[in-house]
Amino acid sequence: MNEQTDTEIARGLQQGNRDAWLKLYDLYAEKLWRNVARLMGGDPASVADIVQETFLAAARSAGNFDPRRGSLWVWLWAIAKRHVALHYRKCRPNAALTQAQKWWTSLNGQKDDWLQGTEKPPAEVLESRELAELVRYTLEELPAEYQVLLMAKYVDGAAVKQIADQVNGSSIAVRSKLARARKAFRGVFKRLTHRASGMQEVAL
Amino acid sequence: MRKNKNSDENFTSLLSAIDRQALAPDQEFLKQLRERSAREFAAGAPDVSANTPKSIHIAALRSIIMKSPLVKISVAAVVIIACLIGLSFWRTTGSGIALADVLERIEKVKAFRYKWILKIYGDEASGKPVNVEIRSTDLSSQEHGSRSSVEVLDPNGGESTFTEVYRLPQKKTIIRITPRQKKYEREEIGDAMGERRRKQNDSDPGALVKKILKCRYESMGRSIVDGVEAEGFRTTDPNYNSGGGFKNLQVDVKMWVDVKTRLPVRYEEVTRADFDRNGNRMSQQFVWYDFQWGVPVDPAEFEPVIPDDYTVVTVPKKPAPTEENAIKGLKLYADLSGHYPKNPNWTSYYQWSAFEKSDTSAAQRLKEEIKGLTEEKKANRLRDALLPLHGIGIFYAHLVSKAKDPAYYGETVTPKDADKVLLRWKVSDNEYRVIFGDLHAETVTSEKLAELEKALPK
Repeated sequence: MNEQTDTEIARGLQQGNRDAWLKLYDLYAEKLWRNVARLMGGDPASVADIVQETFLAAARSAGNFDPRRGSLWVWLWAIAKRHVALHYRKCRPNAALTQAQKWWTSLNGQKDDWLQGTEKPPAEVLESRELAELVRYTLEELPAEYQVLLMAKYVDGAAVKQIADQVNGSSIAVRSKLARARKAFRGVFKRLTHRASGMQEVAL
Repeated sequence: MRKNKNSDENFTSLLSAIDRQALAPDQEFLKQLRERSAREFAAGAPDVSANTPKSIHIAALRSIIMKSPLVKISVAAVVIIACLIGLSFWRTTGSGIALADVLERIEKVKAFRYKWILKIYGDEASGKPVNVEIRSTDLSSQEHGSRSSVEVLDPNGGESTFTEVYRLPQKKTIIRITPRQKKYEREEIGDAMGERRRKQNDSDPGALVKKILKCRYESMGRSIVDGVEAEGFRTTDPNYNSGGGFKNLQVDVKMWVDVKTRLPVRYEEVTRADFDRNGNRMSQQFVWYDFQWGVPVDPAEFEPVIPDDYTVVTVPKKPAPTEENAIKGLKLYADLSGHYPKNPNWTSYYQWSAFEKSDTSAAQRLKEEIKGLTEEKKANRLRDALLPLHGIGIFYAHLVSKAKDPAYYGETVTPKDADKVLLRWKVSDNEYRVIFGDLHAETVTSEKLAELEKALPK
């Protein structure tokens, strides 16, 4: 999965080459499932729906993919992100967010430090469903590229060099974007959680 | 550095929360989707055998969709092409065993959803390349009518044109909403069309089954299609589109039927035909998929929501499918161009661009009329002036749909050919109605028609 592979696949896609499509599918199907599942939580039917809609939409527009605009994976994930967002708009109960927000508000501890990464949250916090829900809501509001970077780095545990290959960028650019992605994540997370607590934005 | 490492580790702990409940990939599902997505890709992939360079396609489509002063009509016309051609596929009868069962089941379904993709490409008779791609998501209800969310793609990757189309036969109305332009059209439809749409939606897949039934077809056996076990049927019989007015027609139609529900899962159709004697060819790929049968319908889905700031565009009533209107359309076409349309099916002929370079007095008069008008006024004037041309295609599609054995000879017959058959159709077992080159009409016997057609230029 590097720029050359992307270019080869893109050329095949533009020519309507079925093998090129299958190569793309084989490279990314499982990865897409995993990331969609992370964003969707434990609903297998919804995950399957999103994965299916993503690949069908991608198949329809694959001929227009331009590797100069970004990597195949980021392109594919951007499609998935749209479908996840659509799904959430239609089906996600607000109650889940409200409950997670209340839970966060009720926690004691240096929550800002947890977000900054200067302190590790307690195990019971890390293992809670509510935290997972808040992280999902937060990620959902971020651009597709930030989602890709954050999940690759902090969920998959990929090295910066590997991520750079995935997104057809340099290591320096990836580090820089990761910093911006973390900042954006913290910003959205704080906004979501403070909204529930009734705290003023100035507290941030 | 240490701090950075801790920061990364802590951030990992935080984000990994979403990985704890995540599901492992469903391998069986992904295996099925692999094949389905490959089909989808194939349906949307460029047809390299069409021998039409992509760069030319792009220029052509841009010209059709983006630059034409009749852009709205063009888009609508393309949709109409689909409907007209669709109609021609739907109205025949036949018999069979498995497919007859499928037909019976389809006719019992009150409402269904589906998607379709239509690609039309090739060269117009004028030599102008055409490349149109339309995608739609449809809901069809026996009780309420049908609703389509139509997207006309910009091949340059630019913004698509979206149109919501509501066909409401009970209200005898078709409404088209174009959000990009903040406009909507309200078209009144006549009793005959309303009744037809009430009884049979243009998108009725049952009629497709009937169409296949009248052809030689073969079973393709069972396979997994779009994730379900399905029985495939295929026909390449040119009779599939007999009477369509196409030369050197090639068709390849495949339909897959769910072996459990006995309802269609997917339908693929490729049609290629000569457009004129110069060998210009048009190709059409039609794919229907993602059928959801027997879905519940909320009547509100058939109530168009039109924002207050949208302006209405009045659409003149299209000509009814009558001999008289067909003749009016043919006369106008001949007045504007000096000849008749070579093929009655393609409504792209009805655009002003087909006459812009004509030096007939009628064309010159119209040119003078629109000179100096604003783009909007020009488009409106041209739309009104060219509207009778639709009488040709609408009448011809009507004849095809009624299996009236129509034939059209506009490629060789001219307005001066008073004794040559321009258009004919069956009116009884042994009689045909004929419109001659000078546009007078007569009813003749089958024998007489055979003589007349024998005398036509090859």
